[in-house]
Amino acid sequence: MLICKKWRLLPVMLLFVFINTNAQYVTSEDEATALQLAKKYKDESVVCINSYQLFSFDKGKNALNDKVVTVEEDAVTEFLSLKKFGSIYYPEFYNRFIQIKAFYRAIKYGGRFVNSGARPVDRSVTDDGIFFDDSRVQYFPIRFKEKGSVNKIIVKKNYSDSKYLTRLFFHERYPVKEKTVEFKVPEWLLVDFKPVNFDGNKIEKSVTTKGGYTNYRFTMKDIPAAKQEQKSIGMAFTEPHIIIQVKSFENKGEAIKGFDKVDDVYNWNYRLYQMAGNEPDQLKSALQKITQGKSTDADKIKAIYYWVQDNIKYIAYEDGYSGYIPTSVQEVLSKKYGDCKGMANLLTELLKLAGYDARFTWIGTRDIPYSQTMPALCVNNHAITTLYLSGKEYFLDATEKYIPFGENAYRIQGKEALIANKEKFEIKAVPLTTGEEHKIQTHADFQLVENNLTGKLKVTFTGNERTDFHQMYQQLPVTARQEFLEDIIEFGNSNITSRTTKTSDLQNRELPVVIEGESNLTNNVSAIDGDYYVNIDFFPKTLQSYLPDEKRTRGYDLNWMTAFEDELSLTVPANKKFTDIPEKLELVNDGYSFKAEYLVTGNKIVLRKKLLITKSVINKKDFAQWTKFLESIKAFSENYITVTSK
Amino acid sequence: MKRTAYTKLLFFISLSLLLINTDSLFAQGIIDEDFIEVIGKNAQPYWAEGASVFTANAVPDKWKNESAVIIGYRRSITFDKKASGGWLSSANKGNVFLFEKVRFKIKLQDNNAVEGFTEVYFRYGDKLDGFSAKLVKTDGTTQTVDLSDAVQVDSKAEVPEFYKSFFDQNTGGETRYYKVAIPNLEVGDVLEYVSYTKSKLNVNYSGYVEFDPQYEICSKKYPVVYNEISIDTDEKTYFKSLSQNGAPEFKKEESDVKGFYRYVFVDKDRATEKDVNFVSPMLTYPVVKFQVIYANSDKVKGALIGSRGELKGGFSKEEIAKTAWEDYVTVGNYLLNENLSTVQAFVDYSWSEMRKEGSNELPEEKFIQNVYYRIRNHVLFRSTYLPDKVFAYIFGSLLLKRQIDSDLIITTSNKSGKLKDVLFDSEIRYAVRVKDKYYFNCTDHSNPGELVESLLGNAAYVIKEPARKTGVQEIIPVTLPDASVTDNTVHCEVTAQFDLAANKMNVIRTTTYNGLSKAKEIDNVVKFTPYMFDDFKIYNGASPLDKMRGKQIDEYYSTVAAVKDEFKTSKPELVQSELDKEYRQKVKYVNFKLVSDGRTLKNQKLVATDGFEISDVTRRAGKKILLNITALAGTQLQITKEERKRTKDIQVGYPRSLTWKITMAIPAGYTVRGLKELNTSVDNAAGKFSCEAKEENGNIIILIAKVYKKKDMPKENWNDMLAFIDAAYNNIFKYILLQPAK
Repeated sequence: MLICKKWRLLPVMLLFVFINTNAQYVTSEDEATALQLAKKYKDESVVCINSYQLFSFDKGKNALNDKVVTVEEDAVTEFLSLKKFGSIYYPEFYNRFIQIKAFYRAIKYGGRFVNSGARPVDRSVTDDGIFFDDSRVQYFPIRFKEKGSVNKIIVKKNYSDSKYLTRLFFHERYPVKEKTVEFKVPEWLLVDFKPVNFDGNKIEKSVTTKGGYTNYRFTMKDIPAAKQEQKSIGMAFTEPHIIIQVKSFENKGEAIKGFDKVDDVYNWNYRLYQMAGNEPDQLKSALQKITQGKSTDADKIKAIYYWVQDNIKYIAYEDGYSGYIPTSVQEVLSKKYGDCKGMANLLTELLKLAGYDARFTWIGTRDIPYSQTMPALCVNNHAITTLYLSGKEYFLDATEKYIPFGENAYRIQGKEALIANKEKFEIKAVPLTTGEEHKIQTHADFQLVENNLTGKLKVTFTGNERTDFHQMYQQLPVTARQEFLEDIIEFGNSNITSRTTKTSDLQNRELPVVIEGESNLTNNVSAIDGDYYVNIDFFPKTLQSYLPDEKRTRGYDLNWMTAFEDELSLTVPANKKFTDIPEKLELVNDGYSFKAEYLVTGNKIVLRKKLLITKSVINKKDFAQWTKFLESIKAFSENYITVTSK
Repeated sequence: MKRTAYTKLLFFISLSLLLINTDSLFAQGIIDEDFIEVIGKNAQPYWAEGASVFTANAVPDKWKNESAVIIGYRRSITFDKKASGGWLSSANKGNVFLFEKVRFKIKLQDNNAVEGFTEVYFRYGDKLDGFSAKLVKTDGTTQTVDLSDAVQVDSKAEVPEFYKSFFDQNTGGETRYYKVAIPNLEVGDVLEYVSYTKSKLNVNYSGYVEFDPQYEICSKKYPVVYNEISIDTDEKTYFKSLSQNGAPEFKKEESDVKGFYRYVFVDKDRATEKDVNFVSPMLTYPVVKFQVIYANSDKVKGALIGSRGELKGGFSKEEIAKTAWEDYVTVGNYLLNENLSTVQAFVDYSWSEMRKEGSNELPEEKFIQNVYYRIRNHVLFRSTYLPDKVFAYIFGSLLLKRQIDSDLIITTSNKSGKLKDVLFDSEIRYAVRVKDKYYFNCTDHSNPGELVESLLGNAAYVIKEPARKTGVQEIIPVTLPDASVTDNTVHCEVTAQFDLAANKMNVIRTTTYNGLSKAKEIDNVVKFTPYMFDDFKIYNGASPLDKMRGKQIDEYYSTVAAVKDEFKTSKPELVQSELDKEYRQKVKYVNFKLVSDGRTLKNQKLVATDGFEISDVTRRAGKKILLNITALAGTQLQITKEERKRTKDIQVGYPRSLTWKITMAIPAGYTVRGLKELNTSVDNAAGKFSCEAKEENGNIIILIAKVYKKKDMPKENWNDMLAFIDAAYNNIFKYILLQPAK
């Protein structure tokens, strides 16, 4: 039945029903501004013409009954439509620590603003991977009647503890003509506004003192829209922002510490960690079962580490302080689920109970650019365990399923870990590996049979590539696993049909994963006038999805390092020979390289190639070099060899 | 009223541009501890029900290697108007009470299943509601799932299939769902839950309520050992059911409660089914259809129901025809749109407009077309299509105003079954016949007489008004028009120029669509083109400007300009995205032109031209260039190795042909080899594929044809299907050789 909705037609479906002619409310001045800005921002329908945020500080108490600094935010944002029916949505995020006190939208009629009376939409913004948290958003979907229409958003928010006002960016998802962030700092407060990525950006700063307050004012003009782009470098790495650091304040003659040094952040984190209420004795029975029959340190540690990886499901329940206080070890053990803090807490206590020097550790993943020396809560977003063994530190991430002991997920490599040691702490960096440790190696030996290539294939995964394999394979329905293995040795090439003949022990996360099979590759040989034109580079890694187009505004963060090593051969009948052998190609750049060469021995030709990525970030300034690199690889992969009679 | 209409327009524009989902949402919050205690207690009695099939914890050997196995799934639903069935003690107050008991038991045999069932969901909307879940561990011990950490679910869309209530749709959004993570869940565990929910539906203002038709597909995501649905109805509630494709049937049983009727469906030992190409699920997989209808009177007109206490298992053609007619004649009173005007009012208004415009005096054939296009114009500016019977009513009524007789036709969709399988009113499709010509419901783009895929060649009845004295109704069997390969065509005229220096092909492609192939593609092709602004001209209707004055006219023009301006951006983006998908590579869009929108009888063909640049079609062998010119035919269907053995009959949809003529000038300084190797032909009972290549006047010309000859075939024809589909697929990987002349 044709009763489905036809939303696509709705923009115009009511045109013929009625045309509304409300009084003209666009001023000639606004219309002229819209015309002017429309030329500048050709792809935009709405521009923020003015954004002003004022932060005022007060004293209060948090839910833990601590004396803290509270913050009031008063913000006014004006939007101008660059076209008729321009549209945008304006969100304000909140949670248990950040409350929205007022939020409304006003529409400009002639020279004055009138409250629209509309109420914002309210919804959860809990991430897919989180079971429950208190992250919510209120937003206004705004549509503008005319080119030159102006809307104003008025917001009042309250931060119940200044710790949760961590940083402020200037860039938004829409262009901003002028944005001002102002802090009204009372005399009793010592606060620092740390500029990050200000270099190369014109940001005016002024400081004025009046009536017992010092006002810090930052203004940036003509800010382009921050576009969402695939695999882009996080804004914190490149865009200007301010980190707010409440160092201390005075309350009735008492000096109360805020976040002045990393020690202060550690003390705060450690205090919340201690509030977990661990009862390690309740782990004894489980520990005994886990380590039963294990005699060496390595075996015991692995048994514990792998048990937590395999048996504790990642289920994050982060509501208010439960987003910061780990769940107790006994509860995580009994429920067999927890978030990163709960899993790190359990792993740490199990290792300690087994007699090892293990410590709860806070860390920021690679999408956070800050060093631990920055005293702010935005530095860390993850929890792991640090194990000290035989004079060496091991970083154990219990949320990283199937990772072997001694290896680290790329997301924490190179990052500084804040390691708990009662009242003290240590900062150590997680070692950074190179692409050479994370390989996908492919070996194929083909024969030319009629117009097909048939032969044996072998694929080997090591390092993080092996872990990635396990994370996919072990979570598949058992009924889908065989097909998955065949898919791997079919390389996403729809013209290969493969049958798996042998694998390594896929229950052992420490061994390289090896998959062997027999394959038939069709549609890869063109027989023309008795000659064969053959492509044995049948699954080229050309990374075309990372080829930037002219509209790309931000660099890439691939979030992986790896090496693809291939050795692919073709043997032809003795009465045939190879011609049109492509020349070898070698490209070496800082962070990525490629080498490929065809070698002929008798009636066999071998292609050896290697693509190595050792840096996961491709900055925009390096796009020309990166593009040339990818295009050269692609051009090389487009070479066919000719097989002709001797 | 007017303000509402305009506001809706603006609202949608922002919605469509921002893709904001503004579904009504509940505030998420922690569950109230008081009702947790109650909900667990309420559920306790239900652990004892249906016990025998739920005692097993093991699964049949044949399913030991499945991800999970459903050991038991039992849904028991009671419809109780009097609240007298021993189900509760609350007073009636004009409500139908709906009680739903569910027991579900599943063995989780791998990580994937454990991950999928990490959380249990339950509904809470009444103080009598109950829910309790437990795990049976591999050692036989049981653990009750603690609900105290449950949180409210933001959107009902998040609730998985096995936790959804039967009644959510009928009773609206009053109830809330909660979820809780299951502690200590491991591979090998058996998860089991019981739930009890009470809903109510106020029937004070309606003596007749049709609960949503249900289609229970027997196969689920996991194999099912035992699946039971039992429906208990009181004396004011009717039940009907029909099984298709070998599904078990509902059976009537003695109810435990006096004055109630019980109907039970049991399915056992049901394996999973895989998705495959060329299958209409309702014609292939075992399915049982059923529906419950509440009626406070026996004299229900236009209802496809049996008698009280009867398990109605299908309807005779007389019953269907009678119902269809009774339903049809009431259509005039239906509300047509949000401003509360009726269908009959629309008919009268349209007729008065036609008289004003003089359309009422057109020659008969032109008049019929005018009526059709007038209705289509209304459909074009609605948010939903018209139901068939509303179209038939409006169309037939307007013809009658001109004293043109028409026949009312009823049939059913060939995607869901045959006329004998009709169980629900909603399965009856309507059309109109004038003399020997059939008119089907309008889409936004259809022309009078154009066919509909789901009605192609269907058995149908012409139904007449029942005789007043005898009630006997004349029912004449007819067959609806069918279509052939030559009716449903897509032809692409592709002109390509190979740019040696840039190593790319510059392509201009003109595509012509006809018949059902046009119907399938027209939405996409005309999208973001301004076809709708002049639609009124097709039937010589009044311009919307005629009823506007002064500033309204200015506003109209500026709105149209804004929409057209938006189209200028949106259309290239859409075409670009379609090209990328079609060629599975980044294609550079150059231009698009809609040559003929196919929305008039004068220009029934849909014709569009697009220009683009495609680069990943060449390979090098030394100085020779290998050119994948056949790839310009676009991506072709591949039948994967998993689908090559066929166990189901084949439903193609409609016969059709796709043809391409590709012309490319041979680059100067090069000769062409490999053309003869492109020539291929497969022709069999199921279809055809051919490719002919030649060199002519310095051009390469390639003619490609792919034909689906039939709409339905037995599975025995699968090898024939494979033969021509494979040939078409393989063809797009073929290369010709451009060799330097020297």
